[in-house]
Amino acid sequence: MTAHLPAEADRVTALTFDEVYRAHALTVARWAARLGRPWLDPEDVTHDVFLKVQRSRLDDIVDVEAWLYTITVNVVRTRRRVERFRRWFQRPEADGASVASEAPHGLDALERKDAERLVVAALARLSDRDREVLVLFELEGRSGQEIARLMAVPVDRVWVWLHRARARFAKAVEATQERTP
Amino acid sequence: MNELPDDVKALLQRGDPARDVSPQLVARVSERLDTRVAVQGRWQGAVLVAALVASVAMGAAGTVVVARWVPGVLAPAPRATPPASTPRRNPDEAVTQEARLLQAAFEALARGAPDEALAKLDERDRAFPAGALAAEARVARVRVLLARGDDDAALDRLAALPEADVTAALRSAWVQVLVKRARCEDARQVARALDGAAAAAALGPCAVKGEP
Repeated sequence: MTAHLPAEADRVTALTFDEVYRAHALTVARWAARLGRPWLDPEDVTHDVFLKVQRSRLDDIVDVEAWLYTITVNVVRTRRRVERFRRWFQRPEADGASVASEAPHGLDALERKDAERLVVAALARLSDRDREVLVLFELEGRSGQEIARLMAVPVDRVWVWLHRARARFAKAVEATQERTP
Repeated sequence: MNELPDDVKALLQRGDPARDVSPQLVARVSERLDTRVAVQGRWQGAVLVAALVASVAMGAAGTVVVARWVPGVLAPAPRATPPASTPRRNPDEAVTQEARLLQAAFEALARGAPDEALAKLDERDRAFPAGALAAEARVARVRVLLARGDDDAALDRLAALPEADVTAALRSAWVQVLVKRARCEDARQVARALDGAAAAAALGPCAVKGEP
């Protein structure tokens, strides 16, 4: 579960990059992993996000977390598109390598790794919107209001999206399990 | 509101893709950003040196450490138009445009129209000088130059390509150009990264008998 600052804490003036990085880097890295895998390395995505932050004027930002979320989503989408083009131009990259970033030890770790592969594969079958709303609600434990704030949409729409995303994810898990011997 | 079935919910928690995201990852990113800022800051070397000298002289080296994180000190100056608090413009648009130009270049090359391909690559370079598909564009340009018979330019660019961008097919073509120029020693050097059969085929008359 992600620890994050309440929205009130984001409403500060004269933010420095250092403050933003310390408060939000881990959250951004988790978004990157949950939204970007298996295609992208969360470290690269986090780097790109904060590179953009470094180049931005922070004193104009009202809701830092929502701003960072939007940047992360955009970076993930752009990088995924680049990866698709790379594959199309026959430049194989280390696709999905980040999923198996370390060797699992013991039965429990192996089972966890299997579960991670299954979850990543099922999430990959979802649309961007379904993946986002499911990750924010089910994995990060965000409230509907918070998700609405991050995604800049009315809360009733979040509930509709979540309803559909859950059904699609359950089906995606089933389909992925059927394909996996 | 439907709920996720219990087993799916448990699976999702257990297989969280962010399970291995750690403070170490954050620290590594911080180092990468730090290095980048330092490199970007070189062009402002005079300012940096002056700041260092001043801070050391005052015994306040720590101020420099803090300063490197403040946007606008060493990092590039912010653009004239500050980003909106919700940057919702389509991030795919630029990559799509860039890829279209690259695709047009590849298609022209496949049609046997290298001049047209080169024009597309020039257009891509002008429109996206720091585009996301720069590596692909570099490789495409080499292939176009080879197709036009512009061997000198192709050789220059091949030598400058990062190792990772040189595919086996491109390397074979590189070897063949060197062989054509009777630069057997260079050809053999480049062919070392090819497997035996491919190297022998590319080297042709430059292949040394008894060597793989």
